[in-house]
Amino acid sequence: MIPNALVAVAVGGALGALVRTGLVELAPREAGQWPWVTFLVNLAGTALLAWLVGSLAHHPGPVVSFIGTGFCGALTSFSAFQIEAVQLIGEGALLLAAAYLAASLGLGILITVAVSRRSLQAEPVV
Amino acid sequence: MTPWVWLAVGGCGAVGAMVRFGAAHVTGPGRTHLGTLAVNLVGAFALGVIVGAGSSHRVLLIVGGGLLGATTTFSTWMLESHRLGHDGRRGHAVANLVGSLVAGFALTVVGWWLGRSLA
Repeated sequence: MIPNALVAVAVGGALGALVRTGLVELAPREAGQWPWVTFLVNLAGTALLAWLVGSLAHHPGPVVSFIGTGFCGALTSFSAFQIEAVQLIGEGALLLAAAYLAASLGLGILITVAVSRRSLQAEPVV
Repeated sequence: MTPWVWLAVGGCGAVGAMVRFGAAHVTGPGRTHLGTLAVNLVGAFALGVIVGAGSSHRVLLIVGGGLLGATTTFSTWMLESHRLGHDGRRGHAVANLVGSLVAGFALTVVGWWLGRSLA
């Protein structure tokens, strides 16, 4: 018997991976350019996860597994984020690579702190 | 790209998300960030290898975008780091953020170099 949570994670993961990979395919990064797709997708997924977990803090369950662990987890990517920084360095854009790493991490944690604070104050949404 | 490639991206994304979910379960409550760290580092290294090896566009989409993209995560990394700080484990939070970033970058470079050497 496969637990429901695992099915929710798998379906959400498939959708998240398709959206991210599809967007990268639609708007591929040119050499020496800021990786806009991964950058924005990572920050948007981070905001959605923080909001979801904060709002449903008292109601964990299949919604968190599906949208949180599955969709947001797979929509956002650590490996793509790192390889793009390495590729930028290979393309001679050292400062851009450093800025990309720093901006993603800095904005990511700021968004998480801000959204978590707001959603924890709000009434839980079921 | 044929529909089969996108079916594979979705299928591999599902597998990747389940692997990540499993890793967080193995490390257990209060330590899920260690499971996330493990999959993020392994995934970053593996993506370095396949990119360094000059893999085809199809492999990059399915294995890179689908499997490794979904196994690794940015959002959970941020949320778990925030939680560590929120629980009074500030040092752990900073270590999880900076440690993941530095180790992930280093492993991606090593993977990329290894992939290029093997190709």
